[in-house]
Amino acid sequence: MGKRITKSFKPQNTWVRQLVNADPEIGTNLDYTNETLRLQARDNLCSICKGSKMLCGMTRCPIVQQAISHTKMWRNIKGLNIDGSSPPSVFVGRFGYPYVQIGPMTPTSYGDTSLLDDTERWFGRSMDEIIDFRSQLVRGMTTVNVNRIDKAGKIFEATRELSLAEHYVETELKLNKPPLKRLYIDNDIQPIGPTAPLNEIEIGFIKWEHNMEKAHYDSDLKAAEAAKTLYKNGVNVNSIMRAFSMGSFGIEKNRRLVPTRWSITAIDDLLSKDMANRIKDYPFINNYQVYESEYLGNRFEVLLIPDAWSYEAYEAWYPKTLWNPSESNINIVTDWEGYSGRCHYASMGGCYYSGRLAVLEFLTKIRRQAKVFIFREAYPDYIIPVGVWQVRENVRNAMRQKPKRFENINDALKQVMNRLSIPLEKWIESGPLLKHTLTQRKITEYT
Amino acid sequence: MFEVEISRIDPLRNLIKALSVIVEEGTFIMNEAQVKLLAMDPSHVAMVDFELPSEFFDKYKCEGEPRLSINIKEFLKFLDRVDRDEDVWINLNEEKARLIINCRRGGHNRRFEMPILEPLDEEVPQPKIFFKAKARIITNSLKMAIRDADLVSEHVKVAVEGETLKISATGDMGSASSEWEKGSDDLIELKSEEDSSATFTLSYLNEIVNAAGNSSEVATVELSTDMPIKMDFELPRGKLVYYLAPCIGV
Repeated sequence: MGKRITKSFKPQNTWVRQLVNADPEIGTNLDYTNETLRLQARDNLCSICKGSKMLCGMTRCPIVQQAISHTKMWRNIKGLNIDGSSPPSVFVGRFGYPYVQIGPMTPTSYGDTSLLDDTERWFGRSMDEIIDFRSQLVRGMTTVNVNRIDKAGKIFEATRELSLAEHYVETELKLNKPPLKRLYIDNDIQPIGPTAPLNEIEIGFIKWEHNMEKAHYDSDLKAAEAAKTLYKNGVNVNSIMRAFSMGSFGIEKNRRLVPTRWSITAIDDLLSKDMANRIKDYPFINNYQVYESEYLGNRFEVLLIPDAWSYEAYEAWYPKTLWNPSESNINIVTDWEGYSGRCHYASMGGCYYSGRLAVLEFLTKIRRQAKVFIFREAYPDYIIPVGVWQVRENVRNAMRQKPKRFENINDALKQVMNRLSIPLEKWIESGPLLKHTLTQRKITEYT
Repeated sequence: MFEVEISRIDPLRNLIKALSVIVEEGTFIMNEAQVKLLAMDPSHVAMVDFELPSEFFDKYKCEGEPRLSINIKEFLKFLDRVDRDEDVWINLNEEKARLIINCRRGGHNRRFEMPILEPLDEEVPQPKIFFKAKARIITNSLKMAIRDADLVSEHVKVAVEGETLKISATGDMGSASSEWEKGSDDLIELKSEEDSSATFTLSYLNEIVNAAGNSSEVATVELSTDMPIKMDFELPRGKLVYYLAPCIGV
């Protein structure tokens, strides 16, 4: 086994080495030190890194470590054979890309376990319940080259089948080692429970979701198109992400594995981009609307303005909240896009796209166009990052509520600010779009 | 029925490019004498008033008052495919709801068809503004000043103070300003009833001046304090006027 792995690691990026040999100056330019990264991130290091980039130079994020210590619940997982009904659930890691750890996840219980992986049904559950859901799932793993899925072997095949399942599937995992009792938490993906290398997998009867089955066998359909079609046919976002991450869709030769973390944002992005283009044909909403929702220590205020589509998301971390260990400073992270969208990855990360998806779902439903602001305040009781699904479901919940309606922007903003604890000036100075909205007149006012 | 022929695509392409910086979907109104477009950007901040007389084209045929609604950016993509030395022949097929672009060079014919859209019933009203100051200026000189401002800020202040026209911007990076005195080479004419100044979003202004500057050498800028700016880009044939709403309280 070990031999095979060593063999598969060919020297990577040899051109970089040749380049550096030819001109040592280039090498010095390629060298990113912690200092240069820190300079870009300035003082709000943690709210930009969110435990993923290790900007502070430590090998483990102290905040994440602290959060883990809050979770003390472990199931009795014994032996090397794990069997139960998989919700279904799969995971594709991102470390070592393109050689990543993939594998199925299953609890040790039988029956309808679908709730354990269905983030779209989690809204309203407490932090403890969510950690409980995730710590039940045992994750088996095996190394696969994301680009060579045709040669990935039986474990991969079975895992991919799982990802396309409509219901829970009886699954048996034969592990090489007893699972490590740890919880992997991340800002983008839901927590991941005990993990162990996988030797063999057996799965029971599977019924594939028929829309996904069709897309899977259509080897001329692009992955993005497949995702959009599935979404239009009512397949839930969570299932699309799961199957997408296993490289189930796309033009045959382009199919590859996508780390779960990336696939979540990829799907959020491509579905909402499509909807953003469609709502541009709809008329503006009639008045200023404010929606709100609070869940897991996160308050969201959504402000819709009768104007052409554009979007700005704000995320404020109070002192001593999760991604802001500072004693006194408030960190506001923001990103925005204009009418024609954006082409660079939003600096605030996956939650930008999740929020956008939730709001656009609503606008598509009511067939109206609006300028959208999402204000998020995270409070100290948000102790563990649970994944961007929290943003998506929280904003979806906000959009389900009855809005407060206003005739002008000042009244609407006053309502928003009454519900938030950070004053308006702070929000205005951290992002360009709100400021622009407040100062820019319209030509129609002068006719 | 609408049909035009033109032997050089560049002037037309530049004008459509100048429209595309503001207009997403526009409705052209054609009659025997001219093609007209009055349109706003999606967020109603800027407006363009565009006219192209029949003399602009080598051949011009139009019956009745057909309307042509198209996505300007898509139209531009088709025009970009046309080569400089090709003869172009554009006609509107209302039955099939298609705009047809034919290019010809020697015996080689190329043909593009693009779908036209449902005409928008959006009424676009002309702004009614009494301008207090007016400056006629070389477009290139104006373009330089706007680009300078773009270096330091997102907003730019345009002012006529006494006998000078001033374009200035201040930001975190520093400041930039241009001043033209009355009688200077680039400032052809300056008239003002009173001192006027207004601030505008640079992203709009920059795109407008850059794109319109390709078709026009002289522009007339009209201004009033905290009111929209009117920029009339003089064309050899035709009319290209932009209005841009100000920013207040920046």
